[in-house]
Amino acid sequence: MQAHTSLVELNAGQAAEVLKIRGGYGIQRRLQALGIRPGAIVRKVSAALRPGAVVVAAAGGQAALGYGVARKVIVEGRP
Amino acid sequence: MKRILLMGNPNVGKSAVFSRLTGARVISSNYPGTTVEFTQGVMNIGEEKALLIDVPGAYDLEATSQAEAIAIGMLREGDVVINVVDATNLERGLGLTLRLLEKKTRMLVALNMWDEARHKGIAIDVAKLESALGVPVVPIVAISGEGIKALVVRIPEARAADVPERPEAVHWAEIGRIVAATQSVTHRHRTFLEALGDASVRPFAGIFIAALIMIASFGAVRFIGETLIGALCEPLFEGLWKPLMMRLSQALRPGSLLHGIVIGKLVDGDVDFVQSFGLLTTGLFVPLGMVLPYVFSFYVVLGFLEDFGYLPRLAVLLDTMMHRMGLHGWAIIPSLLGLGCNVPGILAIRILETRRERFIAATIISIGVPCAALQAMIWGLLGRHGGRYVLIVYGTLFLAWAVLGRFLNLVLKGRSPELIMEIPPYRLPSPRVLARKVWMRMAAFLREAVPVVMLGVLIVNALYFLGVFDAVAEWTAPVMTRVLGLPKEAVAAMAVGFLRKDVAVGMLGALDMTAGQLTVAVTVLAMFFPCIASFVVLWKELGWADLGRSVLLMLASSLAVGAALNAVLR
Repeated sequence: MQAHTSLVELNAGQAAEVLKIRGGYGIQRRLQALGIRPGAIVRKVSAALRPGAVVVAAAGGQAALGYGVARKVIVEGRP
Repeated sequence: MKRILLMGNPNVGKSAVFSRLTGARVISSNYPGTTVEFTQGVMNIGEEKALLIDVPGAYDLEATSQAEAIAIGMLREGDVVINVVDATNLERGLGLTLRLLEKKTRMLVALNMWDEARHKGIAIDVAKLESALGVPVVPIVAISGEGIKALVVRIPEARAADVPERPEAVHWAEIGRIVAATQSVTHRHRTFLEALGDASVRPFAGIFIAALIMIASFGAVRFIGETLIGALCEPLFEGLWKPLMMRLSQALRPGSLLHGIVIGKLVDGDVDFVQSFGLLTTGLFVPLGMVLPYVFSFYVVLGFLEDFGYLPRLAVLLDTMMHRMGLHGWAIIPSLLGLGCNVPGILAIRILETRRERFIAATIISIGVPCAALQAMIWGLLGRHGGRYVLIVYGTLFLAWAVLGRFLNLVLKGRSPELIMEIPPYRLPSPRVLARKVWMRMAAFLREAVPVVMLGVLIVNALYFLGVFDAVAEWTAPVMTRVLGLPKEAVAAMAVGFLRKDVAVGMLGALDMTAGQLTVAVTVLAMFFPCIASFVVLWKELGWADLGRSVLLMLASSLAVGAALNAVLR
């Protein structure tokens, strides 16, 4: 069992369910368009060395999120 | 004429569809944001003609970047929308589709990349999707042309559906429902390209791959360029054109005014394609014999990287570095485009969200990114003295680019937005599409650069003849000689740099300078002022006030860097 973490802490290769996005309306909307929204299952592809960008697979595609954004995406790891 | 808009998410192939429907040539690539302004062309629907408009990509109908704002503004002006959706990513695409439907847009959906979806094991029930959306849906493959005829036939069936406006959460739940009902995915093993794509963004493997790609790209550009010059351009100019010019020279009599304009001056009784400076000698040789081979080789390599889908991954790797300069990773793409020509590089900054970012990006491109024409001349002339000097120029320009970005980030108020960007899959470039893109960019060079080069050569001769350069040289001599350690005549080349930098380097080559002096001169020339084409674009994109600030930075930094280089190399 893994507690709630952000996309930054999630291990590369791990899948997770998005719980919430701690960001303003603008960021929420842009992330939703890329398939990152509460309830969605995403998989972290990789992260650059901190504080680098994070790449996640979501909604059939991949998206890159800057460190500051990735930190705001709260997820729960899935086995 | 009816107006038809092509709309869709970034990087779903709108430009490829546009090329197919109009036969017009537009640039398409494999990264979001290739189209930052709208392009229009005429297409035939049966007997009728319609105006087709290629709109920049948008994820929904609320603008976050200038390019998205353009897209939304255009929606009001269209009669029909062809909504292009990437079949490999239905969910993402329907986000915009439903928003368009809510606005009662008369539309139909083109489900692009149908072949790739099939390869990925994605099956979409087109009939079901049609009834779910209430508008026609046509599967197509824009790159090969499959399904395009069926799409055109169904344009008249475009209609507005009855869809209520939904709040964000309900909106995506509805899309989830539609996707679940119409799409089935068969699981399938990861392909080599997918594995390579994932490795390209991993910290260590990614940096290794990036270094490999950079070295290979640089090597390929040099190899193709050198080979073309050695095997084609030099023999043509030296073997065929020169004897012709010598005969013309005799006919015109050296020393006459016409001879001076057409042939230029003879060097040791011979035509010298770099130094003679006549319209038909230097005026043709610089753009066609020295620059064009490199323009070609640069765009072959860049085009391959663009269509393969490498650039967004480079953006991910460089995100941290770019943040130090007040930008995010995507901003590396305009700088890379600028290595071909600064004009498309500066246009590409439109996708950046804030005015601050656009100012920083445009300024560092103008100062630290040498265009292909300038680079070709630097290799051609400075390279003769040894690769070491060329390396000094590149190293200095890169440092100026990075340091200036860092400086601007520290002094300008505000902060840099975060990177949020989709990463397209790697795709093997279609040779036909790549060849057409290279050809378009070369044609643009021939159309826009060659006349300006000729004009430059003409003006240089006129100003020399009138003694203008001599007067200016006296006036600026203190700066040129004391600060930069250059002969005072070098100011003429700097002035011509405003017209075209390749011509300017040619003029520097004609001066008697040491390798060190030439190094200082080309570095200052690269940094100190944009050429006229870039200047106009900078003005349009930044406005007068920011252009003024940018130009001041260029003048100050080029003088500082020139003086420092002079002190080191003297």
